[in-house]
Amino acid sequence: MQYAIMVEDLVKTYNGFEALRGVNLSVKRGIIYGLLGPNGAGKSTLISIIVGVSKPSRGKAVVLGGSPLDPRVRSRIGYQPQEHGLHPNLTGWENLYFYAGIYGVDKKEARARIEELASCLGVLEHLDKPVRTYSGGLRQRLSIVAALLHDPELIVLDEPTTGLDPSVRQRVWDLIRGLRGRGKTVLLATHYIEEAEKLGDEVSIIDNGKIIASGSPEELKSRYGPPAVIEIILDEKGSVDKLAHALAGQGIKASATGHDKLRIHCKDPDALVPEITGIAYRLGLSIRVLRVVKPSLEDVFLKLTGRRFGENES
Amino acid sequence: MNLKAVKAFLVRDVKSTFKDRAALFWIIAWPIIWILLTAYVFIPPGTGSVITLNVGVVNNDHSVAPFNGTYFVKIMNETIVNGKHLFNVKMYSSTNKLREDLLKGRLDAGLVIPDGFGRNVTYGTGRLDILIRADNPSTKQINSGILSGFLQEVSRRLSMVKINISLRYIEKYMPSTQQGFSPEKIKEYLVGIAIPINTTIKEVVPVSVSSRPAMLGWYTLGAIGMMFLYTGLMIGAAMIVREKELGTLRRLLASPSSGSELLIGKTLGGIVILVVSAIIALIVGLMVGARIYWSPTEPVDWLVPIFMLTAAIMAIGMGLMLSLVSRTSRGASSLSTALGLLFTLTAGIWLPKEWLPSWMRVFAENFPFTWTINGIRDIIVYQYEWSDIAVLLLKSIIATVVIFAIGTLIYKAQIRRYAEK
Repeated sequence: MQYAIMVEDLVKTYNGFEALRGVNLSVKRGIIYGLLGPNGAGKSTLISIIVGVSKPSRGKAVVLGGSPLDPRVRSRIGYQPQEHGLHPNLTGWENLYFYAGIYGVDKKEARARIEELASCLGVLEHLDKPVRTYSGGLRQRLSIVAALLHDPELIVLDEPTTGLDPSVRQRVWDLIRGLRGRGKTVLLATHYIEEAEKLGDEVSIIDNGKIIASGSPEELKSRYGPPAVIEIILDEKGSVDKLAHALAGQGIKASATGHDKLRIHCKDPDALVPEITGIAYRLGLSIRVLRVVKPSLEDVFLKLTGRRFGENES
Repeated sequence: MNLKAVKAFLVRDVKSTFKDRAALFWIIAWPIIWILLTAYVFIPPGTGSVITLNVGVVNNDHSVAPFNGTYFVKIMNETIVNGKHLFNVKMYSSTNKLREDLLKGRLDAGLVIPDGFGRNVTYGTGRLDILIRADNPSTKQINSGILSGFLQEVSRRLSMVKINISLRYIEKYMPSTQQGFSPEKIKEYLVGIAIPINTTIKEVVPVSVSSRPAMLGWYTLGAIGMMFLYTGLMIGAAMIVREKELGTLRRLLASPSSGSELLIGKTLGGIVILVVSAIIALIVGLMVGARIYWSPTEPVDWLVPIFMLTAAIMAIGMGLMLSLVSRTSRGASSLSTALGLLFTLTAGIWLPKEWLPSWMRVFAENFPFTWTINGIRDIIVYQYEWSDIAVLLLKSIIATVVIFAIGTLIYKAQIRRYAEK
């Protein structure tokens, strides 16, 4: 079977609200597949169906060649949900042995796996302490270890790096890449654009319960992204709207991506830069950084939805 | 069924419970507190043994007869029952002083022996004034009961002495052949006048509750029943909602383990917790002097663990029913504790059902959990046989199966509800 996950026309309705609206998805074996979308886009609902927690209202999900509701299929999936799922009164070891037992891994084998994974993520020296003493980041890493204990074929990670500092995030990314290197399939749900772009062999962008684009990050950028992007960072925070408004008056569409940042999609940046600096000068605004960058998946999202990534998030 | 998964749930729940201070208080400390309260407040040491009354005596008697006030006081001082003095006598010079000390609670009773008491007893009827401290109905009953019993016995013995003296005169002045009367017949007749009805009271008490240790054993079981009830309810009521709060439910639902393994593992974990707690409570009960009749060589005594098992499973099953209305584990805990304590006091688990009002007695007789605790008591307190216990055992097992089956259906519906949220 070429595909680890095949999802067809998946619909999930909760009390009349359509969380998924006809999702189609195919994930090849042995790749890292990024599922990128803002919070509330439907990523976790889709994952719930893929890992067998909930049933679709309509449509079909085939995972590792079978139904995710089949325990034999679920035993081949490693799932790290957003909630850590760790008992605060138990130590790291005790929590991990619990999950090893759930997946039928014997204690000796579990110990070896725990030592390997925990040292890889820098958790090993904390395993004797009760989980209630752990920081959020430490719990997150322990939760990832728990998902990998039984050496699953398909690993489903739901926001694995949320709340982690950059150095730890890098360790997690290295681990994920290592899993791919061992032939595992990784489904990575994230709302970090950089994460999807750097790790994903293929990426689907999900918004409002629908997949709006799929492909490799490069494909997506070339298909939907602009030829070039001018990124401007102003010295004075809160002035981006003033500049964006003035640029719009000259027919230049600029999108604010922060309190002091603007992105402008264009074909010929060399022609546009003098015009932009001139407008800023006339408005009395000081530009700290002006650079021409390659388009990112954020630009793809902007192009496809007309919204900045995370704009509707509370 | 994945037994490793069942074991994983069992081990995790037992470990986490015994690492949780709040859980430890309710499961271990609370029953121990009740046992200690019972042992040292409700049934304090000395319960059931002879009570020594503090009695004040004003002796105004100056009779020269052999039996007089002084001799009466001597008898009081020398009266010993079961190796213990019945009275602690203190002499007073005036009735006012005696009354004053009675009012201040320094004495349990007072006797005023009037002048001429000895002479009157010897030739007719003596009179005694008795003052009883009566702070409350119980004190009054105990004090007057002890003193009345003593005075009846003294009166009976005095009657016999006087009859024997009278007989000596009768034999001397009336020949035995005259009018067909023999001294024996006359004595029998005179004794009959003094004591027309000779009664003996024998208390019939099950051997196991005939003493303080046995009563403590009865209440130790009550404490275990109480702990089984509210802990079992709590385990059942919080079974799913606790996993949800910990964030483990999604992970478990995505794992190969089925809902049945979760249910069985957690139920077995609950049973282990309850059994360990019961053993600790029994040890504490034995340490404070409780006596429990259980012998491994008696086959019927092995029904006790079976009754305990049914009690644990039934309580967890009832808890699963409560999970319908438990939205948080804190709510589940509060509801279980409140209901557990309520049922403990109203369903004949802690208080004997005979003490309850009639309407509550109906509840106690028909509450299935009480059947299991009664089954245990019938065996280790009343030492019932197989034939006496069979119906109760059958009723308890059927009730347990029905309650747990209903609880399981509710549990499965709840699992689906949480999965789809």
